[in-house]
Amino acid sequence: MQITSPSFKQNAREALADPQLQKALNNVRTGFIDKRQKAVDALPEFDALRDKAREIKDHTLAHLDLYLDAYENRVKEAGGTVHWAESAEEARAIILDICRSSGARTVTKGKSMISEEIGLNEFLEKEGVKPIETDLGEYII
Amino acid sequence: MNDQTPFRPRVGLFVTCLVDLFRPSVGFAAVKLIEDAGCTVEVPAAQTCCGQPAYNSGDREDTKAIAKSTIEAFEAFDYVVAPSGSCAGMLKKHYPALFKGDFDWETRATAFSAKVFELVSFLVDVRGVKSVEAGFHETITYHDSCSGLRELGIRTQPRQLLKTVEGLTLKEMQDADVCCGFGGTFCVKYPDISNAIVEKKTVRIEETGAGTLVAGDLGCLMNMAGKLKRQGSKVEARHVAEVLAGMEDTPPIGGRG
Repeated sequence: MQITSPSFKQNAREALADPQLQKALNNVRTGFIDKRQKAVDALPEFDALRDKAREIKDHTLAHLDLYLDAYENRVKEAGGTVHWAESAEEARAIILDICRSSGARTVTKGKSMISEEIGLNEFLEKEGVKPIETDLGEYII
Repeated sequence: MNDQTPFRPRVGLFVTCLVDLFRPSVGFAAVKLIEDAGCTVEVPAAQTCCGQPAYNSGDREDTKAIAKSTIEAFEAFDYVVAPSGSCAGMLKKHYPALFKGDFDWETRATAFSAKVFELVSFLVDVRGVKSVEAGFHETITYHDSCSGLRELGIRTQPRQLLKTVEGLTLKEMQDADVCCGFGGTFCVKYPDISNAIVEKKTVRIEETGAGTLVAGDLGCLMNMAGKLKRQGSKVEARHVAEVLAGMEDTPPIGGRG
């Protein structure tokens, strides 16, 4: 990942003077903020649902060992395999092994933040496997 | 002895740097409002800054030293009140987090935190004030400052009291809850972005046709007043405490005396 923070001020100045970008950002307010508000207004229990969702997430994180085991069991029951990795390096190696075992030279992948975090695309390319993103958002943004 | 005198809580007023240096009238307005709400007010001379500029610049050690002296100066009071959501948020929300892992100071900071309130939320939420005795013959618009709104949940309280000011009409602007671009040290670090944000804000303010802009934080007010003035706007800026205390004759922020 390219680090752009050292030139943030200069980049910001250029972005502020970019009429197309500013126009697109202004569309964000009607596209996201106003529409979100409309959706929130139509759902009176919005805040309660949001609190509930946070509680569920917090609970799951606090009992992650239990839920990860349960998840693995369900995947196995459904005929799948769960791979456990303790580090980014280990995860990349497991994925590469799977690609190699089927002789893949090209691999399609869906959007996943964890694959961004472990630097999967760069790694696969370096190892001679070409990753192709199937998530449309990657091409739009 | 049958003492019918109601309990008058002792309030320590945390004046804040900007009020002390640029707009003391906000401090006097705060004293009047807190006294009208049945409290006694003291202004401990040992107080300085809340530590936010150091904290936001990553200087934890100096922030801790400042926080300790603030806690020592104020922990004997029943309440600590500041005419700023930003500084009150620092005292209430960030002090306890600052001392995490330091058992003694975390305990003190947490006990101190429970006593800290922003001025208007103190009046409404703690003292149950429903109306004020003040007149302000003007259409105003109210800006929600970020820290007060997002850290302390201040939104309805100032509007509730402003509506009881005689002669005052409140006209809401669009995006009242969107940042004005000040952001404390942010406006110094990133003046270009800050300026772009406040330019949008002043458009929203002007759209309302209000003659006065009111908010609860002097930093945001000075930022918006400065921009309005440079744009040749006639809109004047005032702190909510001044309006609620009926200080109509004080010159507006950045205006001529």
